[in-house]
Amino acid sequence: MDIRTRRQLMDLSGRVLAALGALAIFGAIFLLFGFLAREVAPLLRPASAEQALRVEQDARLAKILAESVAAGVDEYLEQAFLLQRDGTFHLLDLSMGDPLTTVDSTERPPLWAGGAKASVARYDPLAGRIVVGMEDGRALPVDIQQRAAFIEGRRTVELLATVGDAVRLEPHGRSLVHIDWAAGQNREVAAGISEEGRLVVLIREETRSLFGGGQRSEHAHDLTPLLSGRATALALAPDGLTLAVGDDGGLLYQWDLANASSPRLIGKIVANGPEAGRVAEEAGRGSFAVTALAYLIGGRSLVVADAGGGVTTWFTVPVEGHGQLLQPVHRHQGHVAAVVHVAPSQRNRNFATADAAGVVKLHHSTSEQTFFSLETGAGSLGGLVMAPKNDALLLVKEGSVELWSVSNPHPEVSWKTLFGKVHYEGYPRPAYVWQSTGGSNAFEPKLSLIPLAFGTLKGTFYALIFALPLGVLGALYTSQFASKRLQQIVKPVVEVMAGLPSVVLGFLAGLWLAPLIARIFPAVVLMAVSIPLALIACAWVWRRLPGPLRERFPAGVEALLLMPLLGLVVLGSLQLGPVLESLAMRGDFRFWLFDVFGWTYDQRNSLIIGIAMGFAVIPVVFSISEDALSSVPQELVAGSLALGVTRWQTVTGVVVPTALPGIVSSVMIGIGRAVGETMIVLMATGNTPVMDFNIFNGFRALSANIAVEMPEAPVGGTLYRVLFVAALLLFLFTFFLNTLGELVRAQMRKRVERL
Amino acid sequence: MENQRREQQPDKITVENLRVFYKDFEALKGITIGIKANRVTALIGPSGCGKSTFLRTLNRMNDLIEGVRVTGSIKLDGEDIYAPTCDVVDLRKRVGMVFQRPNPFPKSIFENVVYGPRRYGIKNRVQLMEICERSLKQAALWDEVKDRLHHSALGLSGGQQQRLCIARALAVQPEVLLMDEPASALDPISTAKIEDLIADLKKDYTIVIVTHNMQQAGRVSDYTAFFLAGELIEYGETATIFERPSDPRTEDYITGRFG
Repeated sequence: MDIRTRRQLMDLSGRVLAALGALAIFGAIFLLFGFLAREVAPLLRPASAEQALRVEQDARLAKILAESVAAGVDEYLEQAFLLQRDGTFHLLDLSMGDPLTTVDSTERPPLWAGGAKASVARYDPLAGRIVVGMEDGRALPVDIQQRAAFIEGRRTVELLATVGDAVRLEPHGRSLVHIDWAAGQNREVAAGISEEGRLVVLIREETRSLFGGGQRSEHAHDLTPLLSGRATALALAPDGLTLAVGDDGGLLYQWDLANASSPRLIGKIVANGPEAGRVAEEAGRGSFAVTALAYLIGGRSLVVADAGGGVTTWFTVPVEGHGQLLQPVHRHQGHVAAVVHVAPSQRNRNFATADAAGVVKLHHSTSEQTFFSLETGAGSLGGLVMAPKNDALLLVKEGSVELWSVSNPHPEVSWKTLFGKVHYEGYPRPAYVWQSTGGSNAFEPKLSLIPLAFGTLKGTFYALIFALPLGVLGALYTSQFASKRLQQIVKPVVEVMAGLPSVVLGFLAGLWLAPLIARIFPAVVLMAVSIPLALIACAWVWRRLPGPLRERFPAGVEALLLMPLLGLVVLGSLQLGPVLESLAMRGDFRFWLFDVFGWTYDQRNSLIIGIAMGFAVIPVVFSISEDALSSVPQELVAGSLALGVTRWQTVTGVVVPTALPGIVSSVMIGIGRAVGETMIVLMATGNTPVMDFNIFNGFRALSANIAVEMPEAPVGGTLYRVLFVAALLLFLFTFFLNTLGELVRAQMRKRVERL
Repeated sequence: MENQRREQQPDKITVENLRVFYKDFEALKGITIGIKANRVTALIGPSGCGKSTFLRTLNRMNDLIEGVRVTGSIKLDGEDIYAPTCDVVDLRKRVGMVFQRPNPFPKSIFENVVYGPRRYGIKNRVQLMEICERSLKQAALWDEVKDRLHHSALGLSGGQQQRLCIARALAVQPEVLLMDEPASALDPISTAKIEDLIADLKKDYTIVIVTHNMQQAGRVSDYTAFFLAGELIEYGETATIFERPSDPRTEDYITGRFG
């Protein structure tokens, strides 16, 4: 092979390799982006539902369905049950997929004897209880459990029913049309509405004395006289302490049952119409009768549905002059016809509603989303149940039972819950809150990314306040004024600084610097004033020194002369700090800060972050700025100096303007570094996601949040995907900043090359 | 007649026994020379002979290079410019410089010209405009750029850029103008323009020019100094140096035997 072909070959392979490398980098970035987007995408996918199974047999099934008062389905969608008015269960085997295999358990005896008929029943899947209201006015709680069992080697679902003590709820023996039951701590509460419209409550309390002796008491109340209209719906909070009742005049009654012997009517609130939420004494009445009430998981949010098709979620909010009053907080897409059923989810704040025309809608209370609207055929539904895993809806119709499978994995997430103000349970007003996990299923996830983005920006801001002046001015000094020898020391030292692992910085900041500054805070305040003053004073004195004395020190040594002086200032401040604290800060700076400014002082605060993260950002800003400043052609500097212009004027007039794009890009890349920085903000802030710009408070950054919450996020879950949204946000932010910085730098290179 | 008038010109700059060291290397070995006011003095010699170093000592641009040491004396109008009392910034105001390669700032033409005056504290826009126009006219560039004063100076041709640099130097109204091979990077037409310009400028300025081009030295200068290996070999009126050099080395160089 002659030398020419070899050279060409080398050239070609070099070019191909370089191109491949460049493509690989692009590919990696796009892959990363694509992966992030792929993990986020399911959050945006709309929920869907489709009919999975329809059991429609014959006249006998129609009769069974007509006689049903309650229905339910098990966790694995294998078995549905129908409770009959006579106390017998009918089971439907859903697992076979064959609608004809209706299992009729005739061998199972009825739940109650004597031929009494149930007039109404309410199934509370969360508590695992059906409460049955009888035609004779009694209320009967039945504990229900559906569990998998192996009978003769075959897997079946077993329905276990345990009947509790019946109570005489309606004293006159009239039939009950609405009923609810709650079992709280040491108390059981039954509430019902009779066919005459009588509202009755029975509270059974057990008070335990210190020596173990229990005392039971029973209190029955007829609350009808307090109603303005006829009661049409009711719901008991799961703890049995609150009773909500709706009437045909569109009013919602909130009773406090904490005192078993005398229930207290807290408020009559207009349930719907233009005055919704106002008290009846001021605003009259609502537009539509309340037709259904149900508490969601957690027992705080109450779904209120009415004859006009309106669906709202309520919980108690402090109201001026009325204390904690139920208020409509979330409004949901309504129905055209009157709402007849509300079926809460057993897992989250989803709930389904069905109206008299057979339309079923699925809502989520926190995110105020309505996911779909199903036309299930004409006619009112006899029952609506959400399956335990939220993956299906069981519809009991006049002649059939239908199972609709539902896909709705991330109901909590919407643009509004991620980026908007949301009114959460227990909060007096809408707020940006991040609190992703709680102790139980009943916890309402609060997924606003705003406090985290705010934290990132806050950390970046304080880091830049510290790093930008030091980085840029340090680069200016080193490149333009320092002697060669000083340059040769400073540049490698700063590069070593860049190599410092941020975990070390975070560790030092969190465990050493934060307690130290908390101890010597007054001295730090003094230093913030005394160091700049000392520097200015030094510069002034230096200018006044006679020329020959100044000439004795070679250029660049002035900076070194400053060091001992700065040391003295720092020592002096440390000495004077306690004096300042006892004289001006009344002996304790924390109280003083709180008294005078209303500020609290966290030990791990933004000041610490400013310093620690500043340390991480300074090398980036310094190196790039220094490069930009040094690459200003020497001819320009000479050209300026030769015009009889001073060194400083040359720097400000020619050097800085020429290097400005580079300096700007260094700032951009520095911001990018600060935005993406994780370990320091993780270790040296309290990671409290508060929105407060105070320098003495902590924050939680997007990056630290991902690190903190990673162990809490099951793969594929909502939190997991929301963390990916945070990652995507960070990625886009740093990508944008770095690209902008790089573009500016390229622009600068072009300008310098043209000279 | 003409010769006699020249003889009467006083020295603007007097250099005595000037030695310049770059660390241990002696770049100039005891130069003594008087530079005449309102005349063009050409410095010639082979590369590395020290003529550029000498030029840069006249406005102390050598101070910028680390490790340079200067002994001897240079007097501008009788004042020692290396005395501790001398302000370098003031000195450079009086002794302007034009460099080998055009070095306009990445600013507009106008901003380039008024760069110096602006920094001396002139803020009045009308006044700055007058300075700009006067300087550009002096540098024979006005007609070419008057319509685009606020365009980037980097858009000018090399020759225009060099004349802009001359205008920039003139704008601060120096007494002496040092030119370090000002036309070496330019084409013949631009070179001719610069040479014409030099001839015009000597009415008002004392000009010292370093050049590699013998014809140029012959065309533009009144006096010529020949440097060789850090020494001043010969100095005198240009006509004399070119026609009757007293040193054989000068003759060898001028006739092109080396360098």
